Order: sequence, then structure tokens, then C-alpha cells
Amino acid sequence: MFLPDYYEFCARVKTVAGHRALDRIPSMLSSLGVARPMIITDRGVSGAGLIKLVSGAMKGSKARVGAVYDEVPPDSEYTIVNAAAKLYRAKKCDSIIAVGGGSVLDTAKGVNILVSLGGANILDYEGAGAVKRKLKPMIAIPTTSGTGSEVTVVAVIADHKKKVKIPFTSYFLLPDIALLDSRMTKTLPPFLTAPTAMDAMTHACEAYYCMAKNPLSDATALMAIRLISANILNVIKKPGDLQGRLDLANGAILAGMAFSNSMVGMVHNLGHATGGACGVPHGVCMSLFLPYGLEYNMHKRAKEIGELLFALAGPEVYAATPVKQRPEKTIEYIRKLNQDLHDATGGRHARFLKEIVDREGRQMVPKEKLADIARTAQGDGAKVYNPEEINYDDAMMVLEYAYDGKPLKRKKIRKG
Amino acid sequence: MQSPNYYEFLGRPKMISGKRALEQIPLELEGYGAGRPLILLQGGAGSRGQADTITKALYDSSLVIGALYDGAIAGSTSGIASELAGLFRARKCDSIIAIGGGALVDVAKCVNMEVAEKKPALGLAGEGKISRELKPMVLVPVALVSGNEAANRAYIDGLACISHFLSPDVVVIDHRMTSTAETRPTLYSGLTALAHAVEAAISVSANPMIDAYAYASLRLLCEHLPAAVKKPSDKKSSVAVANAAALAAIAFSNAPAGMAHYLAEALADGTGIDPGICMGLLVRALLKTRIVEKKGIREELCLALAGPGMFSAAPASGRAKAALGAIDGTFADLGGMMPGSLREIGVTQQRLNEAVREAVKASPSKLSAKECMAVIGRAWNGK
Amino acid sequence: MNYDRYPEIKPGRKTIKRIYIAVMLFVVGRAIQAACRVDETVKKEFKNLKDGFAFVLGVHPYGPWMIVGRDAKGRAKYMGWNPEGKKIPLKMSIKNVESAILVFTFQESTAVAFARNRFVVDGDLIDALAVVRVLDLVEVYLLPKLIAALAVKRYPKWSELSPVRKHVGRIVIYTRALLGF
Ligand SMILES: NC(=O)c1ccc[n+]([C@@H]2O[C@H](COP(=O)([O-])OP(=O)(O)OC[C@H]3O[C@@H](n4cnc5c(N)ncnc54)[C@H](O)[C@@H]3O)[C@@H](O)[C@H]2O)c1
Ligand SMILES: [Fe+2]
Repeated sequence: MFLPDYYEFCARVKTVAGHRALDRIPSMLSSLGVARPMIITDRGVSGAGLIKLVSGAMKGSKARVGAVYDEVPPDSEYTIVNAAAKLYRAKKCDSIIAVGGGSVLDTAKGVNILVSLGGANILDYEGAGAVKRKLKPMIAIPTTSGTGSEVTVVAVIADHKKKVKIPFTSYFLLPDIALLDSRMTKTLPPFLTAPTAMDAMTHACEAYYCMAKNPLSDATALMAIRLISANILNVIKKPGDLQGRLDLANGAILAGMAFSNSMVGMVHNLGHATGGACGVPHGVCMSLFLPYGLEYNMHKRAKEIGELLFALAGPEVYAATPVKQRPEKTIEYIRKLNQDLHDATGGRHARFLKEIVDREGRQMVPKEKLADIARTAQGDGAKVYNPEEINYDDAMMVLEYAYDGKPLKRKKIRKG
Repeated sequence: MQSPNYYEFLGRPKMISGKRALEQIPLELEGYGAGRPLILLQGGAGSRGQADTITKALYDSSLVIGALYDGAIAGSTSGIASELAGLFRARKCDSIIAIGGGALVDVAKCVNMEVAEKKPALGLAGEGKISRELKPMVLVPVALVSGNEAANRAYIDGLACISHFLSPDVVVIDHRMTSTAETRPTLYSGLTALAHAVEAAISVSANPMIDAYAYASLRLLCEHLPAAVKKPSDKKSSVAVANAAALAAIAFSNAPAGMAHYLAEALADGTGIDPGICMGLLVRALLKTRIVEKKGIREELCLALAGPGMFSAAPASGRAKAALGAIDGTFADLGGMMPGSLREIGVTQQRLNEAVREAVKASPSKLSAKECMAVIGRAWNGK
Repeated sequence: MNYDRYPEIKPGRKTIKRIYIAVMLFVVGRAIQAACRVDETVKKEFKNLKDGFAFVLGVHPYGPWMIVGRDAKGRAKYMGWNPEGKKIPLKMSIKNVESAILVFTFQESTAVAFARNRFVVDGDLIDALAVVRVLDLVEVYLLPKLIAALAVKRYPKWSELSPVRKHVGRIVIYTRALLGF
């Protein structure tokens, strides 16, 4: 077990997880001592009937919902955060229940900063050290098994005008309670289950090879990969499989614990930039960049990447693969998984940039945009934690390969 | 691997471990709005050096040490707790830094209960009696001999107080402190951690988070405990064992204590035998018994003990044996330090029945007396 | 218990370490200003920053500090050690003196220090990353290769940093940094 010269690890979030975990909401609310929570969610989630489930579970509670904000768009925006905070104040709420995917959870974290620390614009709190105090009580109920935001110190909030995604980091952004209920992710359609689960997979893989790795981030990452790898395809083929859903949810939260403390690297660096510059959903970028992140860092992290094979493919494959071949086999495994997901979703799961289309079927990342993405990536913090340096030229090189899904030419990677 | 139908988990302490970790304390306390800690450390031969180290580590910060108590603490009693609570109040402290392990940390937690709840700590014995966040508490391990230090419990006058609020807020592991531990406490802390991590992972509360904490803890122990015991002043392995002990305690906080834990406490009670040694022997016997009786051992625990390499190399049916082999290997590496049986450390055969009875009585979850007897008998006989 | 035996302790200062850090900060601050005049990459980084940009780098909570700003022409300008009264949009503080020593004795690279959470950043992260890139380059200039190679993730290849550019650049930066012009 790798023990670095120095590490920090904090995942101080009470986790409550199960097939009927929602039933515990009343006692959770009373343990937090709150009376008027505000629910933050989006239309997709409420349309799937999930808010009904939550308010149903709250029936036995003394607390009353103070307000519901359900206008979070995909990818949280700072104007949305500001608007929701205004509603919170107008309705005199005292806590937050966030029900949704990463977009909702991150919006809620942003709202919590504003309503706890004051101010009208979340952008005033930018930077890694700006939030220094305990915030209002918050319960996070993820409805995608993906971002792990329910247990991370990060909120990613977009500025659409500037076309960037801005990370807010602080230990105080950890919610008080993360509540995982298999019913909450059951309604997620396969074409969304695939990329969100691959986001979680990416968190675990990047956590395992990035610069702040430590015994706990390694342990949680390995558990996460085992859970996700064993369930992702089954759940996409059988969306109603509640046990599979719960396993995925547990995998995602473990992956969140891992990366929140080890941070992420190139995959997220390019992913955030692609999301910012072209509006591509986060998980889609993650799954397609993941093999490239592994290839790009291979010369510095062959051992770690080889070890991932155990968690991905299981002990039999691991034992049968000679140590030297394990790293390459890991990459092969991820590429094959992306292909399987592509097939299982009737082609909706994108394998490379060229293949990404929006609802109207238009290509989202035309080749001319690559330079834009590479430039934006230089301003994204994830590059700091990547083992190998990523300059503009490096990013460009990787993007060109990822554009039509060709494996990286290893010789082209500049090794530091 | 499958998630349980329901679980709850809280890993409360923030872990900070490694180079210049002590120097992080002022900023951590600042995050809680605190800056006047009461520092407790165990008086005695090493206390001068430890006091110096911690004071220097706090240089160049806005923090002021309200008081640094370095008197001897023999046990956790209401008497000492209320005296130190008085010191805390007299100096208008707002936080606690406990440097050490064992009774000292119990006392630190009791002081915290007294000053935060404004009543004697003894009145808070039992489970879930604490109603609010206590003052911020930083634990700086030397050797975590009781296994409770980083966990959610404290003892006062022999009674347990259990509450998540009793988990330290921050655990700061720095070799400048861990490498001052002596051989025996290092061994005891490692064996207690081993038992707690294993028992959490086979308990009814086992869940993926416990598995992850147990995995990290057990891997560190298997790889570093023998080296740390042979040379407690070794920086890297002493830090590794302190990490393992803290992580095991967090797993232990989220699961009911197990058979080895209760049996060891019963055996140690009033006999001067160290519970850590007993726990180590008992937990090995427990796993062995499960294998002999073909009850099986959870795959996650086998993985944690054997490590991915050995785990994969074994056939599916042989993984429990590989796990046991890993414990045996670790014990063997401990050499003469590790006794082979309870008999060797002076436990009489007559004590066994009694200990089983006491353990069954003490445990709130129903321990099977029959299994207890089988396990303790095996541990008594040794190999 | 006699409480007087356990008096209050006001932790002191590590003066020598602080002086060392102050000197290093001064040299680095000067070097950034100098590098911005001879190094194209550093020049470009500063051009891209906003008008009126400045950052303060130092040690929490009592300093020492060092301030570098961007002048109207888009060049780096060393602005002294005292942040008081100045409008500085970006603050990068190292959490304590010992962590700062690790960074300024190059035992920990900026990347490793970030990964180990030694820095606290207040302000725009995009700008902070530009500053980190500049710091990395300045380290390559200021330090012998043996040490600089440890301090940055990828030591620039000769193809990128020609010997002429490197050595001439280094001499110019050194003298400018030391003489303060
Ligand atoms: N904070 C972090 O640690 C972190 C980590 C990674 C990503 N992120 C951020 O999270 C965002 C992405 O979050 P996401 O991938 O969870 O997607 P998302 O929250 O954007 O949700 C995607 C879509 O799925 C719908 N949906 C969600 N749950 C559903 C359910 N159970 N049933 C039916 N429909 C459902 C939503 O309505 C939405 O339209 C990005 O902004 C990304 O930057 C944050
Ligand atoms: Fe992500």
C-alpha cells in the first residue's frame, strides 16, 4: 500500500445508503435540527417523480419544505446559483436538500455558500481558500451514480459567458449527509446511466494515479472500480435492477471520496474544457478521454495503471496477465467497455469527440474547436494534479487523437 | 461484492499525515474559529521533547497555547477529567490537542465533554448521551494502544461513552511524535488495530466504506507492523502503523465491537495482561475457526489481508486460507515479540470459561458462547 | 492541581527561516519582472492577464509576502513586500513557514505542494494557474538543472529552451534580480 510523504484526507459526510434510505429523512432532519429546508432540483428529476418520493418520505417529519427550486439546467451556472439563493432568503429557509445529479448538487453547494456567508454573487467566492466557515446544514441526495458530489469538497459551476467551468473547493463544501436510495437512480435512462457511471469510474481511476494519492483514496478508488465495473453493463441492460443501482451508487460515492482527496488529472482537465467550450455533458467527456489519460501518464504510472486491472477485470484476469502487460490491458479494458456501452445504448454512448451530437443530431465538437478546448484547458486546475505536464501543445495532440478515437502514439508524448 | 440493503457510515476525523503535519494544526483550528488550545501530553521521560516539538510546530501562527499539561495521567478518572476541565476553563481555552494514546486521550475527550456539555463527564456514560458538537479536538498519535483514541468512544471510571461527537475532528500523524513510541505500545496498537479492522469487516454492519477503511488499515499493518515493532523509531513504519491504527478505529466506530474485542477485554480485566496481544491472538483464532468450520470469510476481508497479488494468485476456494496466511506471515515477522498462544502469556485454562461468560454478558449483540469457547480455546492452545 | 505549573505559552517566531523565505521571495519577485522582459512565454502569460492584475505570494498569517503586478503595458512589475493598502485580486499563501521552507528549498515542487494542499488560493483560479506556470519557468531559469528538474514536472527540453536562450537569459535574469533593475 502506497504511503506518501504527506497526505490529507477528509470525507466527513454521514452516509446513509440503502433500498429505502429515504425513510430516514425525518430522523436526519431532526438530527440536524432544521425546520425549513429548501429543496433544490431540476425538471428532469422532478419530472421522474423523485421529488414526490422525497416529500412523501418527509411526511413523518416536523420540518416543512420552505421552498422548491427546480430550474437547475444541465451544468450549474452562476446566475442560477444567485437566483436560487435569493429564493432561499425570501422564503426564510434554514437548510438545503439537494435532489439531483452533479448539476443540482453543485448548484446547491454554491447556494449554500451564498446563504451562509452572505453576498449576492457566487463568483466573489472563487479560489481554493475563500470558504472558511461551516455552512448551513445540507443533505445531498444524488439521482445519478456519477459525480460523487455528495461527498466531495468541490462544486463545479459554469460561467457560460466566459465559456469556462469554475471549481470551488473547500472542506466546508462537504454536505452533512449523503443519502443514497436505489429508487432515486432507477429512473435514470441508460443513455445517461452510461456516461454518469463512467464519470465515477474516471474519478476512481484518476484518483489512483494522480498526485495526491494516499492509502484511503487508493482503498476507496479500488472498491469503487470493483462496484462500478461489475454493475455498469448489467444496469444499462436492466435499468430496474435495484441491487445493481445501489451498487453503482455506492461505487460513485466511494469514487467521490477518492478523488475529492486525491484530485483528478488530464481526463478532467480536458473534460472540463470540452464541457466549457462546447457544452458537452461532463460524463460523456469523461468516458472518452479516460483511455487517453491512462496512455498519457503511462510512463510515469505504469505500476498504478496495471493495478487498476485487478479492480476492473477481477482476480482471474489479473492473475492470468503477466505484470508487464497489465497496464496495457487496463487501457484495452476501458476501450472495450466504452465500445460495449456504445452497443448497449444503441450507439448513443460516444466513443470519441467526432461522434458527440446534441439533441438535434448536430455535431457538438467540430474540429475547429479543438484549439479552443486546448486553450481553455490551460486554465483548468485539474492539470496541476496530473502526473505529467500538460502544455497547450500536449493538449492539442491528445485532442486530435481523441477526435476520431485513435490510440495515442506513445512516441508523441513528451516525457518529463 | 454487493452493497448491503442498508447502512450508515461516518468517517469523521480529517486525516493529516506526514512531513510537517504538526505545523498544519493552527490553520485547522482556525477553520473552527479556535486558537487557544489546551494541550495534553503524557508526563514522563519523553515529555520534554514532545512539548518542545509541539510548541515549535506552532510558531509563527496566531495561536496561543492556553496551557500545556504534561503531568502524569495514569488512568481516565472523573477526578483528573474535572481538574483538567478546570484548567481548560481557567485559561479560556477553546480547543484540545491530545498528544499520545490510551488513557490520556480518554481524559482529553472527557474534559471536552465536561466543558462543552457543562456537566461531569461521568453523567454522559452510555451511548448517544452527547447532544451537541464538542470543542474542536486534534489527536496527535504516539501509539494508539486502546484503539478507541481515533474512534467514537471514551472511557471514564471504567465506563464507556459512545457518540460520533467523541471522534477527534482532526488526526495529525507526524513522525516526530510516532517515532517516540516504544516497542510494546507499538505492537499493542498494531494488534488492536488488526483486530478492530478485521472484526468491523466481518460484522453485521460491514459495508463498502468499512471495507475501504479496513483495506487501507490492514494493508498498512501487514506491510509495516513488523518493521515498526523491530525499530519503533523508524519514521516511515511508525507513521504507517499510526495511520493503520487511526483508520481501523474509524472502521470500528461504525460497527459493533466483535468477539475478539470482548474476549480480550474480559481476559485483560484486572490481570495486567495486555488486551492488544489477546486481541491479536483471538482474531487470528476467530478466522481460523471460521475456516475450519467452513463458514467462510468475506471476500473483501480476504482481499484486504492477502492483498491483490496473493488474493488473485489463490483459487477462489483458497482465498480465506491466503488471508489467514497473511496474518500468520505478519506474526512470524514479528518474531519473538509475538507470543504464540494465550497460554504463553500466562492465561490459565480456568480463566477461559469465565472470560467467555463475561464477554457474552458485556456484548450487546448476542455472541454465541459456543463460538467464543471454540475461538478462545484455539487461541489458548496456539498453533 | 496547581494550575500555575502549566502556564500559557505564546509560540515564538522562526526568524532565520522567515528571513530566508523573504530573500527567496524577493529574488523570485525580481526574477519574474526580469524574466518577463527576456522570456517570450512569461511575456505572453502576462499579456494575457487582466489589466490591473497583481498577485501576492507569501506565508500565512504573518508573511513574508511578495507582490508582483501587471503594468499598463502588460509587463510584470515587482511591487514590494507589503500588501497593505494595495488592491490585489489574487492571493496565494502557503499555509505555514515550514511548508514554505519545503517549497523554497525545492524539496517540494509547486505541483507537489499544491497536491499536498500547502497553498491557499484566494482569487481567480485561471490567473493562479498562469502564476504557477510563470513560477515554474522562473525556477528553471534561476536554478541549476539538477535542482530545477526536481522542482518542475517536466524540465524543458533543449529544443524548447535553447542553450543561448537559457544561459543568456539566466545571466540577465540573475543580474537584474540581484541588482534590482
Ligand atoms: N462536485 C463534483 O465533485 C463534481 C464531480 C464531477 C462532475 N461534476 C459536475 O456535475 C455535473 C454533471 O452532473 P451529472 O453527470 O450527475 O448530470 P446532471 O446533473 O447534469 O444530470 C443530467 C440529466 O439527467 C437528469 N436526471 C438526473 N437524475 C435523474 C433520474 N434519476 N431520473 C431521470 N433523469 C435524471 C437530469 O434532469 C439532467 O437532465 C457537471 O456540471 C460536472 O461538472 C461535479
Ligand atoms: Fe467528474
